[in-house]
Amino acid sequence: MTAPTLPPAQASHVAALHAALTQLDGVILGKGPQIRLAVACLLARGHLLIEDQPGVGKTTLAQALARTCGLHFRRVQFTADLLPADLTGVSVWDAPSSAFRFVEGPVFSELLLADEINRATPRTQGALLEAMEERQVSEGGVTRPLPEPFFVIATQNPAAFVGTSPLPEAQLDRFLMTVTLGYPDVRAERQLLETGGRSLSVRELPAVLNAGTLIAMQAEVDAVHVAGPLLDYLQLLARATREHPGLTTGLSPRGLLALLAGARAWAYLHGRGMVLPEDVQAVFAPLATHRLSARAGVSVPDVIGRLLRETPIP
Amino acid sequence: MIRPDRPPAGTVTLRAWPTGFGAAFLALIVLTLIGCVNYALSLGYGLTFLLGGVWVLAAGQALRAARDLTVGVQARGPVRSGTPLPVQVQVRGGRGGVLRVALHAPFDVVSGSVTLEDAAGTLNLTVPTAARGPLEVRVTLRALDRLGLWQVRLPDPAPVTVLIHPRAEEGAPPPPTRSVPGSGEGAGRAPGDEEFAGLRPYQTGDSPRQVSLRHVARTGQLLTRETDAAQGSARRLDWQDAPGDPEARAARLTAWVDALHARADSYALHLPGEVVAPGSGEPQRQAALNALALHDPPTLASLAPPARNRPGARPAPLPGEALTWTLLALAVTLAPGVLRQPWWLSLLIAALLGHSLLRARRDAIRPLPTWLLALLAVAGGAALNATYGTLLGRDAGTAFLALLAALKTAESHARRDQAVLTLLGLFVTSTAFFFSQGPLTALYAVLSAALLLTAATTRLGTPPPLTRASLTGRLSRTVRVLTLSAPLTLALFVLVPRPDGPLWQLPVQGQNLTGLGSEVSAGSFTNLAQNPAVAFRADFRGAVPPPAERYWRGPVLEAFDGLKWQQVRGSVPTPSVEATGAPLTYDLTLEPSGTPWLLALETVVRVPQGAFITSGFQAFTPRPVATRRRVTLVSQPARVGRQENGDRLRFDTLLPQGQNPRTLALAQQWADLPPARRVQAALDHLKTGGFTYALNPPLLPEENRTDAFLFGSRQGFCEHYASAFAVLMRAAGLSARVITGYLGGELNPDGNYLIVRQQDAHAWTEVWLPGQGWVRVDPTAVIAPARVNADLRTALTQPAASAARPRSGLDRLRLRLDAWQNRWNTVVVEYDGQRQTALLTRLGITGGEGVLWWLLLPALAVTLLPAYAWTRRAAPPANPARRLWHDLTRAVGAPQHPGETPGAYAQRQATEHPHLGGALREAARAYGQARYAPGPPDAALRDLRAAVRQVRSLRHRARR
Repeated sequence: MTAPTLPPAQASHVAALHAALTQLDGVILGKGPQIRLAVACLLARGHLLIEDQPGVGKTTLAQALARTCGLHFRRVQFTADLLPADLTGVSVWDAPSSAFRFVEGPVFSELLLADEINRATPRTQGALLEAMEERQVSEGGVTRPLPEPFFVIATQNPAAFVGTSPLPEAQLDRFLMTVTLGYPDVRAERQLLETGGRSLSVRELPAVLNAGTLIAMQAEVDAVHVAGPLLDYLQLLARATREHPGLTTGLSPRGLLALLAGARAWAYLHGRGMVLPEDVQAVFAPLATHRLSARAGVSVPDVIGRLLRETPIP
Repeated sequence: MIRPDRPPAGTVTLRAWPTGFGAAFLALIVLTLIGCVNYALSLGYGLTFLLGGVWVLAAGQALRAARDLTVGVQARGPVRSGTPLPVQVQVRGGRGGVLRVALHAPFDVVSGSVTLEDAAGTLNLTVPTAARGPLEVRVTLRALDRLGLWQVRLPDPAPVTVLIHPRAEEGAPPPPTRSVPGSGEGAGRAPGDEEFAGLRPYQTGDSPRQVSLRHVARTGQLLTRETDAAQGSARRLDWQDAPGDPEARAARLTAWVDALHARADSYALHLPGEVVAPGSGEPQRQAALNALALHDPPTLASLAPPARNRPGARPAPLPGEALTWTLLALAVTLAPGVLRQPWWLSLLIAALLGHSLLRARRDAIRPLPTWLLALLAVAGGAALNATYGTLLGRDAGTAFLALLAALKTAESHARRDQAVLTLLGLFVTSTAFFFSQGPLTALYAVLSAALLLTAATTRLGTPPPLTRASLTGRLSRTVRVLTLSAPLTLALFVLVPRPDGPLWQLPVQGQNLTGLGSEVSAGSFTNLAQNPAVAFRADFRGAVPPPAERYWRGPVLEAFDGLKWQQVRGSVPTPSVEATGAPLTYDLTLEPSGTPWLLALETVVRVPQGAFITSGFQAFTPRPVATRRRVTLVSQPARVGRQENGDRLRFDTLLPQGQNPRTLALAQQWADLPPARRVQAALDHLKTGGFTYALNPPLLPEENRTDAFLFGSRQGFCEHYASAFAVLMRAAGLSARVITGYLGGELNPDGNYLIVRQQDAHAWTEVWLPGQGWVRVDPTAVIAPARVNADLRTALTQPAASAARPRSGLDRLRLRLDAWQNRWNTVVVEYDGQRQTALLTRLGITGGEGVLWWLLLPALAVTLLPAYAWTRRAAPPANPARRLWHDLTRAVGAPQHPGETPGAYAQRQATEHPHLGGALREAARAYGQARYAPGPPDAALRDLRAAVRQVRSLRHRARR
C-alpha cells in the first residue's frame, strides 16, 4: 500500500530514508522493527527509551543511527555519582579573559545516548529530562538552546537490577516510545558470530542523511494527513485505555498527541502521505506501554494487545 | 473505586420479567383482544397481535441488551453529610436497549436509566447522604428493552462504600486559640519531641516515657517532662472542646477544621482514643475529616428515616422533551376524532394538548389546577351526555375517551404518566376500528401505534429533543420492530381461534344508515335511488346469474292500508318448496344497515347457522347487521307455496274499505278470467295505458291514491307500480303481496362479483296462482324493461334499452378500486372463525380448535425466527467505503475481527485464498485511500467497487 504520489522532494527524502534503513539493517541484525521505531521516533521529534539488559546492542543501535543520519553523537554513562553539571556543562573561570566560560556538557549534541539512565540519581535524571522537554539548558542565568535536531536515546536496565532508581511515571512520559531489543534470533546471532567485531563496522559507516535533511523530514511528517475516522480511532483507543478495568492510568491527552505524531512518522516512513489504522497499531504498543499502569496481576502489554484486537476501527 | 462487573458467560442465567409497564401493556392487549372478540373487529385483532408481537420481541431485546454488559460504578466521594454524593455509572458493550441502575442507600433508592445506543454510556446520579460515617451504596442493575416492557436482572456489582464526612456547623464560634499545652513559647511551638520545654505535674494519661525519673527518684513526686518542636502555630482541636451530642461535636469540629484550613493554619485533632498529628493543607484536612467521620458514627437504627424519603415515594419527574414526543403521537392518534365528534370537543382537546405542549416547552407555564381539570371532565361528560343521550356506546364512549386522554396530558408530571398516556393512546387507536375497517384506517392505526411506541422509548434514559433527525431515527427503529413482529402478527391473525358471537352487545346509535325500510309507501325509494352507496357485494362460487334473475329478496309486505305496505307478523306454517333448478352458492358481504335482513337471491334454501328463513322466504338473522358482515347463502330456483296456508291467502286479498273505487271497478272487469289471464290483463293495462317510469313523480293525494296514480298522473317509480299492481290483483280476487329488495347489481369483472348499491333498491309483486304457487310479477319491467336488463340510470333515460351503456374508463377504474376494497374486506376484515376453518381445510388441516392451538405454538416459533435472526444481524454501515468493505467481507465469507485493519484482513484472507490475493490487496488499498486519504474519495470508491466485484466473481467461480 503506497500513497498515490508524493511530491518529488518528499519522494527523494523517503528514498534516502530507505537507504538509511537498509544500511542500519546491515549493521544491527534482525532488529528491523526496532530500527524503524527508532527512526520514526527521530522523525516525530521524540526521544526513545530502550529497556533491556546489557549487551544486546543498545549502544550499537544508537551509534549506527547517529552515523547513518550524520548526527553529532555523544554518549554518557549514567552512574550514581553523576551530577547534573556533568551532563549540561559548567561555567569555569577563564583567567585570560577574566570571565566565566561555559563548557558545554555532553547534552549539547545532536544524538545523545544516555546509557543506564536509571542508575543516576533522580536529580540528574531530572536535569536530562528537563533538557529533553525544553530542548534548552539554563545555566548561570543564561538559557542555551540545544542543537537541532536533538534526539535522546536512553537505555534502562530492567527495574529489578541492583542499584537502579526507577524513572517516575511523569518523566517516562517525556519519552515518545519504549522499545525492547531482546536477544537476536538464531540466524542473526550466527551471522554476528561469524562477522565478529561489530563496532569496527559501525565506526566506518558512511552518513546517508544529514541534520538538515532530518529537519526537513520532520516538517514533512507534520504534514501527513490524518482523516476524521482515524482521529475517531485514536480517541476510541484512548477511551478504551481509560475505561479498562485492569488499568489504573489511561492514556493522557499528551499521550494521545504523541500517538498521533508517532503514527504520522510511521506512515511517512512507509512512504505514505496519510495515516492508516495500521500505522496507529504499529506504534501504539511502544507508545503506550510506559504511559499506562496496571493493577496488580495485570500485564500492560497483554491489555494493550487485547485493546488493539477489540477496539473497532472506524 | 471502579468496581467492574462482567457477568461471566455461561454461569449466570439471565431471565426476563415484565416491568410494571410491560404488565400494563399486556393487560391492554388482553383488553383489546376481548373487545375484538366481542365486536368481531378483525382489524382490531390485527392491531392487538401486532402489539403482542412487539411485546414478545421486546423480551428478546431486553435479553440482548443484558448480554456482555460491563458496568463500572464510581462514587465521587468523600462528601459532607447532607451533600448529595455524585455516583458515576459507566457502561460498555450494550447492544441496544436501556440499563436501569438503582442505587440503594440505607433510606433512599435513587435510580436512573442510560440508553445503550453506542458502545459506551455514562450515567450520573446523586445519592442523598444523611449521616456521617461509612455509607454503603448497593447497586442493582436491570437491562430493559427500548420500550421498557421487559427487564433482565443483572448480577449485582459489589456495593460501593464511601466515607461521608460530617457536615460543618453553620455559624460555629471561632476555633479555640489554645495551642498544644505547655508549648510555652506561644504560637510558634507545637507539641513534638525535639526539645525539652519544661516540667509539669503528672496528669493521668501522660505517657510513662515522659515521666521524669530523675525527679521521681529525687523528690518522689511524679513530674512529666514536656517537649515540643518548632512547628509553627499548631492548634489543638479537642473532642471535649465541642459541646453537645456526638453529631453536634463532629459538626462543630468540622467547622473548626474548615476555618483553620481556610487560614492555612496547622492543627492537631484529638479524639477519644485517636489523635491526628499536627499538620496543614488538604491531606491534613482529609485526615481530620476521616477521623471525625469514623469516630463513633451514628448507627442506622438511631437514624429515623425521614418520611418523605421512603423508597419509591418520589416518582421520577417527566422531562419536557419526553412529554413533547408523547403529545405529538397523541395528537396524531386523536386527530381522526375530529371527523366524528362535536366541534367543541375537538377545540377543547386541541386546547388541552396545546397547553401541555407549551408546558413541556417552557418551565414558566404552570400546569392547570386539578380542580379545573376535574371541572372540565365533569362538564365535558355532561355535554357529551347531552349530545349523544348517553356516555356509553361507540360514539359517546370514544369521544369521552379522547377527552380523558387530553385531560391526562394536562396533569402528566411523572414518567409513570407518560406510560399511562401511551397505553391510553393505543387504546384510542384500537377504537378507531369501530368506525371503519378500511385499508386507510388500518394504515393510520399502524402509523399512530408506531408513533406512540416511538414516543414511549423516550420514557427511559435521557429523552432527546424532538427534531426531524431524532424522530426519523427513533421511528425507523420502531418500524423495524413492527416489521419484525409482522410474521408473528400474521401467524396469530390466521391461526388464533376466532370465537363466534359477541360476549355483550354494542349499542348501535347515531348511525344514519340508509337502506331498505320495513314498509313502503309512495316516494320511499326516491332517496335510495340517488344513493350510490354499496348495499352489499355478492361473490358467486359459480357463474353469475343473468340480470333478469338478480332479484335480492328483502322484506315481504302483505298488509295494505291504502297508503303504505307493511310486514305482517304471525306464525303460519312454512309453505311448500319444489326446486326447479341447480343450487347457487354465494357469499354476501353486507354493509352495515342496522336491519336483520340477509338479502338473498330468490329462492333461498340454506342460510348460515343462527339465521333462518321466514314463511315468506326471506332470510333473517337474529343479530342486526351493525358492522360489515359476510355470510354464505345457497339459493335455488324453485316453485314455492303450491301448498300455502289458507289464512294467508285470504289475508293477501284484503284491501282497505271504500278506497280506490275506479281501480276496483277496473279489476272487477277481469274477475271472470282465469287467474293467469287476469295477471296478463293487468300488465297489458299498464303497458298500453301511457304509463312512464320517473324518479320524481308528482305527489299523490292520500285519499284514493291508487286511483290517482292509475287514472291520473300515470308516472311512477317501482313502488308505485308494485303497489298499484298488487291492489289490482287483490281487487281481481287474487292473493298478491309486495316484495322489496334489490334488483340487479353491477358485475365487476375484476374479481367476478356483483356490487349492489342502494340505488338498486326495488319493489315488485308476487301473485299466488293455483297450481303454480307464488309467481313473481314485476310490473316495472313492463314499463321500463331496461330496469331489469340494464340498470336504473339506463332505465330512466332509455326505458326500453336491453343492456347497460358501455363503461367509461373512469367507471373501470372505479370498479378496479372496488375490487381491491372487496378483496381487503374478504381477506382481512371478514376473516372469522368460519373462514379460518375454510382456509385450514383448504390447507388440509382439519380437527377444529384443538388442532389450531397445537398448530399455533410451532407456527409462533417459526415466525419468531426471522425476527431473532434480524435482531442479531448488525446493520450495514452508512459510509459508502465501509459498506463496500462490508460487502467484501461477506463476499469472502469470513468476518473481519473488530480490531483488524483492512490490510491485515486482506493479508489473512490472501493466505487462505491465494487466488483472491491481488483483488484483496487492491481492495484494502482502495479502502484506505477512500477512507483515510485527503480529498474526495470518488476515484478510490470506484477502485474499491471494482475490487469487490472482482472478489465476488472469483469467489463465485471458485465455488463452481
